[in-house]
Amino acid sequence: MKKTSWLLILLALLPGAALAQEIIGELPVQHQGRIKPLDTFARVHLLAFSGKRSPKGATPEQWLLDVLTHPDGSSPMRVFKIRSPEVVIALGLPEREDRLYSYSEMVEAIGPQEGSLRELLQREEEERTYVENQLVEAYRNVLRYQEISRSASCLLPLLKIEDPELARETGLPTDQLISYRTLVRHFGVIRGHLDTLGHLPQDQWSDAQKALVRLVNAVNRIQEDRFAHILSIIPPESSEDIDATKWLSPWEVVGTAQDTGLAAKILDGWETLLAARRNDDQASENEAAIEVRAAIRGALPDSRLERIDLENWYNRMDLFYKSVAFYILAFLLLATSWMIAPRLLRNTALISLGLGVALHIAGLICRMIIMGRAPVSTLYESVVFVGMVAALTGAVVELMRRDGYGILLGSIAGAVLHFVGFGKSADGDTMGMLVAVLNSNFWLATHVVTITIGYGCSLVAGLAGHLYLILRAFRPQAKARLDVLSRNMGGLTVVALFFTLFGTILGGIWADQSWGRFWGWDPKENGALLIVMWQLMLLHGRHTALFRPRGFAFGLVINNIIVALAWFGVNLLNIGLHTYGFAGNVATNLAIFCLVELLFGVLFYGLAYRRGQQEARA
Amino acid sequence: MLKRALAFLSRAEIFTFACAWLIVLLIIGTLAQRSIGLYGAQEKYFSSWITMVGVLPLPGGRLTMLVVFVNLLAYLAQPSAWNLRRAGLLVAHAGALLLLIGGMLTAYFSNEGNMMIAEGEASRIVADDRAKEVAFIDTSPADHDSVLAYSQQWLEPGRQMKLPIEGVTAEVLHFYPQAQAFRRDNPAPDPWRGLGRIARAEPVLHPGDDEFGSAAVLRIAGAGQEIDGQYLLVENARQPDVITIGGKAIRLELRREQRILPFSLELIDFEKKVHPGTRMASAYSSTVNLLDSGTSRRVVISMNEPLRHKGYTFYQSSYIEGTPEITVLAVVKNYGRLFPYISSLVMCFGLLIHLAQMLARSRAAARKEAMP
Repeated sequence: MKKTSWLLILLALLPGAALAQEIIGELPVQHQGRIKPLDTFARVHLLAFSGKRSPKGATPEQWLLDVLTHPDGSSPMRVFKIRSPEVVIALGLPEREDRLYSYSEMVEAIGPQEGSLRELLQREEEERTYVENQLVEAYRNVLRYQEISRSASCLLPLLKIEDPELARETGLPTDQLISYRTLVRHFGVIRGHLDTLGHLPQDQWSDAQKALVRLVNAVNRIQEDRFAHILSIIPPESSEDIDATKWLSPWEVVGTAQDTGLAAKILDGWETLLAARRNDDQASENEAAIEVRAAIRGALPDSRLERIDLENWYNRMDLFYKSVAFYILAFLLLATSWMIAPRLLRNTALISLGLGVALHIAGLICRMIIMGRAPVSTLYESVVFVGMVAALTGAVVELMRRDGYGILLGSIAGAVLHFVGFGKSADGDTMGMLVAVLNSNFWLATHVVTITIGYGCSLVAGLAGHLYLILRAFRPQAKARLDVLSRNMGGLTVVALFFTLFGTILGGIWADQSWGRFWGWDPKENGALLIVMWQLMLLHGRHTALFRPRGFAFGLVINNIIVALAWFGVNLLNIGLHTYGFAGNVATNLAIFCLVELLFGVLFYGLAYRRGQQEARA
Repeated sequence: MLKRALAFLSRAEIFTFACAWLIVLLIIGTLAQRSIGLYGAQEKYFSSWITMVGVLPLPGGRLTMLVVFVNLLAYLAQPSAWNLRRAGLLVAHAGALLLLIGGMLTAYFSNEGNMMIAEGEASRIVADDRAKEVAFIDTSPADHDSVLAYSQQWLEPGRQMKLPIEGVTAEVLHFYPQAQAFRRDNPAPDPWRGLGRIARAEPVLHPGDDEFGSAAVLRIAGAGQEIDGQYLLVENARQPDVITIGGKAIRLELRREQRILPFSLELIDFEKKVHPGTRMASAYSSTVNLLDSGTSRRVVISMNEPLRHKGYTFYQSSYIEGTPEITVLAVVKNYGRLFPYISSLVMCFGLLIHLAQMLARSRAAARKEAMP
């Protein structure tokens, strides 16, 4: 017994074993206006449903195939995560520690309440409460899942021909199940038979006629899935403008004249694949997957394929997760270096920080190539980019100073922003398409990149301010060190000002280029200007000695609050500060961040001030 | 004396405090946009000389900017600023001065409006975004309308306008830049006439993000008992009042100030592209014929690709769906538009020099420390 189970595990580990799903993940699909690998497609949906990129004990591809082969929603995988217990109660779901539920559980719970949920769905987001918004989110997710699960039902072997007469006429087998797509070619014959039923009462039907009615009912059931167009896996025949042309989904092709050529080849492959999957036939599943891949790859230009492959690689590598690991390692090494082997550990920490930055940059470059645009256009991208800039600035400071502060600043800022980014990425595809005004513009790209570099430098300068206050409060006697740190704070602030100022002006230039006004006092612009003014004020106050180093450091702590408000807070201002806005994740986190920073600033400024007084007296 | 005045005016403390005050204005002004709207907040806090907080008159954005400008000018006028050691700072400050000058030019001499053209039609009219006008339109001539328009500055209570008929005048009783019109429960008595009998207008004081049209009340005099009285003018009214005096029919209109361009644009085609399989727009563009003094040129105006012609810039701003499709172009005339470009280059250059100088100095200091 034991031996056989080991053998089974070994078999599963053999390279061929998981081939089909791997290939499936690499196949391109057009979703939300963008061509992406099915792997991304699966991950994006899993993220939306469960907050995780793969379900327990399965890959995203396995999950997707599982969903596709269970159009009735009977897949047992539990992928619906309910965030708050109130929603579990509201939906009458069984209480469970992980609050993960399967599709059928969700459907059962939602069924009796569908009317009121649909009502909620109509309402504006701001008019709904926090719980109501989660209910709507759950409902939407279930609908989305339903669409995915039914998008390939026309390819699945679900129909049985029982009447040998009908089988003979159509040339279809009676001993095995056939797909809707196969049967649809013989609808003429079936319709003919159906006509013979005429107005015959039900109790006079022959066995063959009864079988026919069963078949037609089954067909009607499957036809209800026609709406499910989400799986656009069929590229246009000519590959001229593969990005701008709409791809087709199985349901848009099956039963129409378009089911020929490339489309037919792809659907043939999928049909075999899904049937093999249902029958647990590894070998033919792999074979079919290879066939589908060959058909699609032949239809796409090489440059497009390279981008899809790169995205696959990017998905698998999890570069940002690895990068954050290195940042954390750098921090831990540095912390240890304060106790033992300072030089060696600090250098190792610097290498670790460097590796983190390298992976971080590699991830950003991958994204740029995949999307074919500048690295920063969305809020998520700005978070990731600022994290990189901050970590890089930290590394540069460390190289110049060699005292560990650079590592401290860089690793903290880099890691924290990575985690903020992970949180943001749950909103959906992080490489989504952009609205018209944000599309490809030189000034926009330079503006956003410059200003986000400015945010990054500002945060590092802000952290230096923290460090100064801490040192001043606990080690006021380290005069030389404090002086150097004070000079560095000034330098970092000038660098930050350089980027924020220039980035803000570039933003104006973009606005001037795009809609004809340089400056319109809108909240986002004002936010950027606020940072610039604050830093200008700090620097001029420092020059005139209105602000001594201690006050300047306090100003830099507040600078972090201003950066956070300009960056995230302004977006909230637009949707409003009412109940939902503040119940929302971003707003709460932002408020906590600002409060903590303010408390930190006041507390440590006070401590440093008291130490100063004590020293003066002494 | 002059030297001392200059030295005082150029002090960095002035800037530090002005900057702090601007930060306060910026925060209040941004938050205020929620209640009084973007334009309202801009007028009250950013483009005003004095901003009233309760009964307290406080310096507005424009006055503060003027202080900064004078401060900056004095700094640059100081001989001691022209020091090679501070070359970077000097250049950066000169750039800032340019930016302020550009801002002033824009604030006083630019105008913004928009032009709507339906497919297949041509237009040379730009409707201003903000300024309103009263137009008396004589529709009696058979082959044309003759228009007499009074621009925004006339729209102040007490001002008298002449109608295109000898001896007839209109006095402005009220003007509400943003107003809402309501139907009256009972017809209003004399001296109300026309639309004013059945409707009334109320000013909107806290418009928030919504835009409301304007409204005005005029008193017409000298046209005889039947006509004389109070008239309500509502922007974009479906049926504005028409008064008939001595065989002339004159329509009373309140509308966005219109400017006639020295050339016109004809819309050939408006196109909207979406990301495949979605309803999200990926690009808009208008193909137009630019008709100028007998010549015609084909131009495509798209998002981020404006048309510049004779000091005017046309941007693809919006569109109205339907048949025919109507494109909405934002039209801007701005004399200061090159300043930000130049000043940002200058400031960037200056700060780079400054950073290099700082670095060199700190290196030198470190070397000195290192020496025994």
